[in-house]
Amino acid sequence: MEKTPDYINFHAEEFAYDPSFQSYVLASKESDIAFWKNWISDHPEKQTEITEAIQIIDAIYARLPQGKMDSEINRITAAVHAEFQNPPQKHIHSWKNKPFYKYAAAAVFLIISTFVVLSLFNNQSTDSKQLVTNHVVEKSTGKGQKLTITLKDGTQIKLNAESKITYPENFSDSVRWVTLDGEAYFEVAKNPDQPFIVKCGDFHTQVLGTSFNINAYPEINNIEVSLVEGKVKTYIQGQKSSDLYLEPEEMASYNITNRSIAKSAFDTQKNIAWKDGIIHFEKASFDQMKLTLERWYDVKFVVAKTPGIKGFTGEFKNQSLEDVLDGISFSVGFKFEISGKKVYINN
Amino acid sequence: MPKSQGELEENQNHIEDNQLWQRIIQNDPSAISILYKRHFQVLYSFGFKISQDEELSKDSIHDVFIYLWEHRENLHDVRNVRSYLLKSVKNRALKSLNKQIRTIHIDNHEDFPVELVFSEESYMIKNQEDVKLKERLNEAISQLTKRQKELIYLYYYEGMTPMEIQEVTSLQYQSVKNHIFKALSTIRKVFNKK
Repeated sequence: MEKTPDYINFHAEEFAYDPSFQSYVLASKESDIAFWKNWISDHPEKQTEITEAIQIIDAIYARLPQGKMDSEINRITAAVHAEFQNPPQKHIHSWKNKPFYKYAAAAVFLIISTFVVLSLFNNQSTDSKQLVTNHVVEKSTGKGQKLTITLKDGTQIKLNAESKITYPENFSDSVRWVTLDGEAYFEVAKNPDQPFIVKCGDFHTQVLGTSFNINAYPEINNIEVSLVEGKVKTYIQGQKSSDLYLEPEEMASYNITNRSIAKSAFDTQKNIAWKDGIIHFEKASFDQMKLTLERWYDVKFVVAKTPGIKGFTGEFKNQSLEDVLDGISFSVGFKFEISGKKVYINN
Repeated sequence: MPKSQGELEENQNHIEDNQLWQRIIQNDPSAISILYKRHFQVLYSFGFKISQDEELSKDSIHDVFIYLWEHRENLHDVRNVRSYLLKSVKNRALKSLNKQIRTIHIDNHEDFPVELVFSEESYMIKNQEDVKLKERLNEAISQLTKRQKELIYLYYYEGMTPMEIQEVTSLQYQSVKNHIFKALSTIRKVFNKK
């Protein structure tokens, strides 16, 4: 079995020697970046050693600032995707020098979740359904389901449980509109001449750059857009002054009640975990967990008395409901019984 | 969970690199982006230390990956992807430099650019703080032995494990580790002198 090194006792030299720490400093692998961001914020007492370790690594490499590295990654991604979608008839090498491709992004990854209009999903359909009216395609999922859809332009959409997406069967020449209720992960085929816009009610997100996630929490009356890479613009329909541009690692939260948008930082790993079958709780209340699990496993909780908890933090990957509840109840302290589609919670 | 690469029999990074390489051959554009991100900073450092030119270094890396993508159907398997990329970036950078008719002295380091990796010029001086940093770096470099520089290059640039380094040098595993740690410790001390 793999063993985590005893990082707590590490000195600067040992951090600088550790491949996963190097990978964090050089922003090479997402898993290492996430791990070390977490670890460092959990261990403020190691700050001096960490700072000196980074200094050592910087003496060895001449590293480029993160922002510049990101634009280089965007540049290669755009060029490769452009070639992928429009392969040259013969080998033409001149296209890659055209400045257009330097900035044209090819892939867009986004997650949107709203769950504002929960009443839409009251039907307990067992299969995803498809309605075609007036060339508008509607696809939806019930509880406990996920669905991957490929649009005609090559865009891929992974729908989370209890979600619905509608879009014209054929996009117009000028714009690609998609409306979403619930949560979805998008891999958008980028076409600069035909912007991709995701509508959640009157809150719209327009793709401008390359890769990003959009994420909103269903429990609160919010829509959240989280950018991983590239650039997006969010705005409230009909309000010119509401334009908000996001840089990587920034998130926009739209409060539906106040119709206000706020910008803040976000955690990439946490927001895209569901796509990979991971349930991620961070300081979650019992009610938040209940909502998540009900939707994920297609069950209904029957709660005698809500267990008082300060906030549960934990991750479950591809585990059964029973295992997940075992983990939570062990640390929170409650009893549960699963009977068919019902989960009984007793203190 | 991450673990010290030195303790591994196999170099996990090589395995992952080779998987990405196969995905490129199989026409998966996202594999290019992942591979690019994994190695960008090391390749950039390397290119920059050769050329002292940010744009030239960035373009060299870009061109190498574009070349890989355009020739994906005919790519051969490579044993060490990182090594292959370093060589390719170096060749591109040198070619561009020659175009610019600049004199460079790297011929001696054709296959073992040890001195290059620690060239003092690699610090761009933007302000007074950087001047001090550069002086410190020079001091650190002057205190490193040739062996230490060689091992730092193999470990940090070629991405070899101490196990693999043991195979290409005549040093024992533990000795490899000791040399590297001693070098790191020297650098640390120089930078934290009051």
